[in-house]
Amino acid sequence: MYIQLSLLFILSMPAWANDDLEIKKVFSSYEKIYTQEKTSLVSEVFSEKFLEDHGGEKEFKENIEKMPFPSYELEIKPGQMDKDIKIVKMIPKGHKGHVNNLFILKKIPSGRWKIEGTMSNED
Amino acid sequence: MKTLGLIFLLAITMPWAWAEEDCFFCGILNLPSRIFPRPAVRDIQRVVEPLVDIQTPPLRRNSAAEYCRRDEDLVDTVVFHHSGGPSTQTITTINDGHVNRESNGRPWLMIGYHYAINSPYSGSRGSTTVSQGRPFNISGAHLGSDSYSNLSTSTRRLLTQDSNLECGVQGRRFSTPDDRFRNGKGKANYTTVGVVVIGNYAQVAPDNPGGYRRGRPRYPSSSALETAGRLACEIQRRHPRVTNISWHNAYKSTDCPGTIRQRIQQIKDVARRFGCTFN
Repeated sequence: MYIQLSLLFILSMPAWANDDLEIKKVFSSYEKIYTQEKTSLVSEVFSEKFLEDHGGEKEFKENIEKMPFPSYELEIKPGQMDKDIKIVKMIPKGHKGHVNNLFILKKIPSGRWKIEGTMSNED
Repeated sequence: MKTLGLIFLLAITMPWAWAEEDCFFCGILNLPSRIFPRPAVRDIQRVVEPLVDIQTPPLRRNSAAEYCRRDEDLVDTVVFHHSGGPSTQTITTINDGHVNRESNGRPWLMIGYHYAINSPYSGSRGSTTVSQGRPFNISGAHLGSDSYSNLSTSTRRLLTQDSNLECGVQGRRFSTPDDRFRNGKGKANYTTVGVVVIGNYAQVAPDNPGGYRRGRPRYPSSSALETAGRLACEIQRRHPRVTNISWHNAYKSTDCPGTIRQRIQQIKDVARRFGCTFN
């Protein structure tokens, strides 16, 4: 039984490990947008819904403000009820306090993860 | 025929009679207002009619989550938040976010706020609505499990009574939690009601891509503030022990509720117009 469970765990591991890896890539591109290194990545990072909610892709790009990015770690948690959702916390390195907002990432039909929204962190 | 004539006469003069500010039928009969005082009718309307129309959309719940049922008298403070998302968000989308999250490995039951105010940003068009989130008799999840605050003597006494608060998972045994007090303070989620003004009222930051740009702050609309004041007063009417208004970053270091913090006095002023007083 334990062997079977261990095998199941090992076999299922690559799926979520891949998801987390891809989410880290999304945030690497996110960083490039806000350091204005590559704003063309907007549509790869943010979902259509996110961009619509923020005035559309054109307006969103125009409003991107260059800002310094601290080094950070990502805390990636699977959705408790929806498998196509991940809740991501961006924690600046060495930061012990409260993180202001959480990111909601959603898996789009092509299998890629994109930022769908943000929410105030009421932890 | 005479009766019909009388009914007709009454019907056409009724709006005129009611239009008189202080008295019923004084305009027709030229009577002093003390004979048929109209304020009695208006007072009844004041008591019966709610100050805000609160919608109750269906919201998903995570049945595996632990939550706390409380005596409604435990609550003495309204706490304002912003949602940290776009103003076009709905209570359902916020619920979808909260129902998918967890804290310290424990899933959330549903949206952490008790009420949500939907309103466009100041300067934009749109209507303002209020929706019920978490039921009032369930402790909120909006200030964090580590937020403790000073309590009034009466609230402290109520929170001390075991029967006023019990926590558990649906279908299992509920019991009084042992985290009600810390260093002489009370756990804030147990004694507060959370109200979220939907929108992002904080400045853009690495963890807040939807925030406003530097030097171009976003404020809640006058309609949002009017509704927030009415809602606070409606809460006080239903729960007279609720006499304080506060905001998220009064409890912990966070950018929530953004510029709403600067409008708290206006919210209190609106509530006062309807006869409610808040500290």
